[in-house]
Amino acid sequence: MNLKDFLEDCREEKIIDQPTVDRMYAHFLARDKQRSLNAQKQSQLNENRQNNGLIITVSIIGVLLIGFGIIYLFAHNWDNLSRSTKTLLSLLPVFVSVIVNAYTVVKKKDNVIWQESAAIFSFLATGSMLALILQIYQLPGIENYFFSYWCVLCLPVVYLLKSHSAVFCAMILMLLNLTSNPMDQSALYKIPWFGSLIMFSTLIPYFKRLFTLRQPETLYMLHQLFVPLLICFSAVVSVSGSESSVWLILFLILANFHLFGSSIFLRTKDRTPTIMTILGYVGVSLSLTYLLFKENWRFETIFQVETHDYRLIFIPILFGLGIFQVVRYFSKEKISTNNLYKLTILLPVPFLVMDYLDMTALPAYQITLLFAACLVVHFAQNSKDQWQIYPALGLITVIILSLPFSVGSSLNYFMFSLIPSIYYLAPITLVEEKNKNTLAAGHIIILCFQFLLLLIASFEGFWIAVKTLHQTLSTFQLGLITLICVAIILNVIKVRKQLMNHVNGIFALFSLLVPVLIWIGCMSSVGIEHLYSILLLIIGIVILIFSAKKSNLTVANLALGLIGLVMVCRFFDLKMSLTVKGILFILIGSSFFFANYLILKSRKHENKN
Amino acid sequence: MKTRTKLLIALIFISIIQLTFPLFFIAAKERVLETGKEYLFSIQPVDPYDFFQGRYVSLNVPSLTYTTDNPNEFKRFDIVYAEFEQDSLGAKITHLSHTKTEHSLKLKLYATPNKKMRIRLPFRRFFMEEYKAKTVEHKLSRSASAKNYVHVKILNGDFVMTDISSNGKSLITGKPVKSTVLLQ
Repeated sequence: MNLKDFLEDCREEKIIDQPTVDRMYAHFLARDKQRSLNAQKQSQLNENRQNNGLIITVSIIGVLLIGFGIIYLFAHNWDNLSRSTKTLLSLLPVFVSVIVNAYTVVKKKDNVIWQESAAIFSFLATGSMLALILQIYQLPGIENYFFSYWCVLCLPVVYLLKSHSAVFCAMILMLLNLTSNPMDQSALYKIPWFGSLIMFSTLIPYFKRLFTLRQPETLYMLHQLFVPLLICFSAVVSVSGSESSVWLILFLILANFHLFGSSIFLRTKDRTPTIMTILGYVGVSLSLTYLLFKENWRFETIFQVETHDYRLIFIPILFGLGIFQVVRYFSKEKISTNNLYKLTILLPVPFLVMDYLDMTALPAYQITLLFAACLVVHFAQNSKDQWQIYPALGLITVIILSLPFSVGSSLNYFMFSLIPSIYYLAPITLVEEKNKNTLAAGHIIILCFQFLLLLIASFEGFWIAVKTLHQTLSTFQLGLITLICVAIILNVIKVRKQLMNHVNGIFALFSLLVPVLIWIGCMSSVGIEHLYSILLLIIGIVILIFSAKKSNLTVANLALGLIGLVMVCRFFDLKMSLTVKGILFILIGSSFFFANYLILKSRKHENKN
Repeated sequence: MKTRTKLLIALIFISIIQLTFPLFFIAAKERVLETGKEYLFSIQPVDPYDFFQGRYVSLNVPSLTYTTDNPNEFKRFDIVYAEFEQDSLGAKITHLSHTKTEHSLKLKLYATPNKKMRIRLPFRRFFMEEYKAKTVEHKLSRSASAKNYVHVKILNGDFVMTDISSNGKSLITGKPVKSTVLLQ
């Protein structure tokens, strides 16, 4: 029943009178028309916006091509033209760009396409002019502030034309500027990165505006990523001092960006981590591991720098800035287990002091880092925060990897076998309740690594190679490994409920079993490699039975694949006696029949239901 | 309207800077070309490519040696001024000091100062039309008696490279060079 019929019905039933019906219907028609008009307008607006985005991209690409065309034309080196002609020619694109800029400012003030295209054209025209003039007088750009001149001459365009793409051009030029190496270093330019720093500081108003308005959103997201990356790259590119000082600067920069990303300025309303926070967190975790691979940190040489290298000034500045941000953060927030890790900027300080005073700081550093990572994992498990768990696990992984880095010991393989187990056991709390009967892609990858470890261990030749490693781990390193093992066991006890819930705890047990078995293999003097293949087969069969019961095809495929792999490996393993081989193959064959039978049976059972 | 005029004024200002900046640069270099003294330095060129500036000839100028009695006068990475004297094997350094003279060249000391210093010259690249640059290496005579030179005009510390020549013939024009410097 439409409205007209309904109103007619109402009138007939004497609920309302005729004029009311007319008025109501007229009102309905008017509203309907307005609504459809509004909808049309909205859809047109959306279409326009989409079209605009496309046109902007296309026009930017077009301008880029034209500009590079001009650069290429000039790069041809027109020998037969006189110097004055060449000079005039080089100024021509800049004249054109000036005219375009003026036109944009006067006539097309709010047209994004004109703004962006004019800005990019201005950049490229100025670049080609400088390149040609330097070329006329036989001056290589890299030795003559080419990029500095270029960037300085074009930076005002960012603000004049309110162009976003010009910012990217300027950032690229600043990075390139770091590679230039002018011979004639005037007082201001004794340090090559100084110019880039000054140029970058002119972009700060732009970034302030972008980060407070958070509009346009794509650029807001992109610059959260690009600004830290640009600064880190610049720090690495402009290296000439000792490695340790560069590392320290990089660490401080990343820690600062992490704190900045979670400050009031940038954080989201629901406190989900911003891109800058994540980048900072991952970067800090990675940079903390750098020291693990160095026996001598050589921080005592940090003050022995070449003349005119003022990079060291940044260490106290960045450190002060970090402390300021931490204090500011905790003045607004209560210290809790969730944000305690923000203090990470202080973590390396005591060790740097120890190293500077000529004490061996590495063991203390390893222990502290391990404890810190374990604590972060512990608290992040409670709050189900994956952004903290994974970097912390990465930290533990690198600690494990760094131990065999200098010592070739027979226990190394055991240490490797711990890594997948950690990745299976620790993030189990993040698995949602509903997938407790299925395996996530991540879990399957981890299981494949564990199977691979056991498969490698089932080769006799492998153990012969391992036993040739005669170096032994120091008691401290052994203690560290024991600590990691204890941590794993404690973790298993802590999350035993979730572990048992998830696929009946089979894979949890397996994750614990793998390191134990490999440890036995590492320690025993007799070869037990056949045990591994038998064990792998038993595991395969157990998993297969389990998957048949649950009719879980992913797990079933995993098990079948595993069995197939073991079979192929034993086929090539020629040193095994024929009887063992025969028994193995019979076992495999019968297990395949058994599995097929079980799966078919469960399928039938399901179909009946 | 008001912001627009402001923007326009700023734009005009910046455009003037953009256009005049290179003119100052050009004027300085033109002065060197007009009044500079020409020297010839021996070279061993090859030809790579620069993305922004095109094909060039990498000159590979051998470092010059300078013997001094008091090397403590100089420090590493100092900016110094060198005076030259032309002979048949290319220009040689006659004097090195911290003061600028009319026909001296500004240099940076990359080596630690000794009694016998090796001094790196700032002549690295010679930009050329791409097809010419490719053949320069073949055109240069390889015999031991060959004389390959880069022609440099020097004035008040500044320099401009004007030509490269092999056995008295310019590699850019192909004609014999009318050098102001007498060569045997």
